[in-house]
Amino acid sequence: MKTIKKWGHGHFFSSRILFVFLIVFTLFEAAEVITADKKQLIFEVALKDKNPQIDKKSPNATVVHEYKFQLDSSNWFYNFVLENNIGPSPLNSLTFLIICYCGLLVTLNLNPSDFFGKDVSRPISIAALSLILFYFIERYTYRSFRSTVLETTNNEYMLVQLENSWMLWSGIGLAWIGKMMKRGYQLQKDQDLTI
Amino acid sequence: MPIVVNLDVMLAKRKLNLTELSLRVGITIANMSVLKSGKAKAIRFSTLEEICKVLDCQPGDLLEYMDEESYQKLMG
Repeated sequence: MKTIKKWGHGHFFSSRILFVFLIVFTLFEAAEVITADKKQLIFEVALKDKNPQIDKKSPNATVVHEYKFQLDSSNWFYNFVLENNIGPSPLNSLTFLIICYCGLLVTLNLNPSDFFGKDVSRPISIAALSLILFYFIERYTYRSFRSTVLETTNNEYMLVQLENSWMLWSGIGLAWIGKMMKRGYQLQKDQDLTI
Repeated sequence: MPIVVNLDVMLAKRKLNLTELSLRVGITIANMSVLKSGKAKAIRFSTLEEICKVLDCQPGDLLEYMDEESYQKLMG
């Protein structure tokens, strides 16, 4: 009830609206992915030995070909973790939902005139942890398909490395911000209790 | 923190109440109450000086060190 009362008041109103919009959008997107019938896991692959991915058209222009490898999978874990041809993976949506909800909690509790008045380090740390966990789970599950791609394509194509390291760095950055917010809150509390 | 603030003892000795003391020292009654209840984390020398001036006492009359066990017993 207190949270609902705070909703329309104070700062960060537009941020709250944005977070709610993102939560609703992600829920719809996740529902579409989960309920889809014909789902296939999708991987980015490249030709292993030759290099016709790059097609030189002129001395200063090239066409780069991208190859996608789509695979049927009945394993719930792979379907949960890896991206598919319908949209982002349910784990990706779940992580994004956690981050948006944490962001919403932070904007509800943060007051620019009393920045360290409330402890908002916990939601920030949860968001950081979920990003870091997602990075490792997705990366290592994706990599486990390296041999599958080679075998299925008769050694013709190889799996391209997943580019999700931004998640790890964002997670580390958020964890650091969470730590700073916690320290700030403790210092503010000490300051408030200094007579 | 096993530092006990004996403000209530000094107030009783000087026959003063907390409101009067807070008015004479120039800090809010809420802050004075925090100090009296032992919830304060620190006290400024300027505040201590003013309280000592008003109560005509020494800092040692207001603050007392206790070992952890006795402090826990006192605070319940």
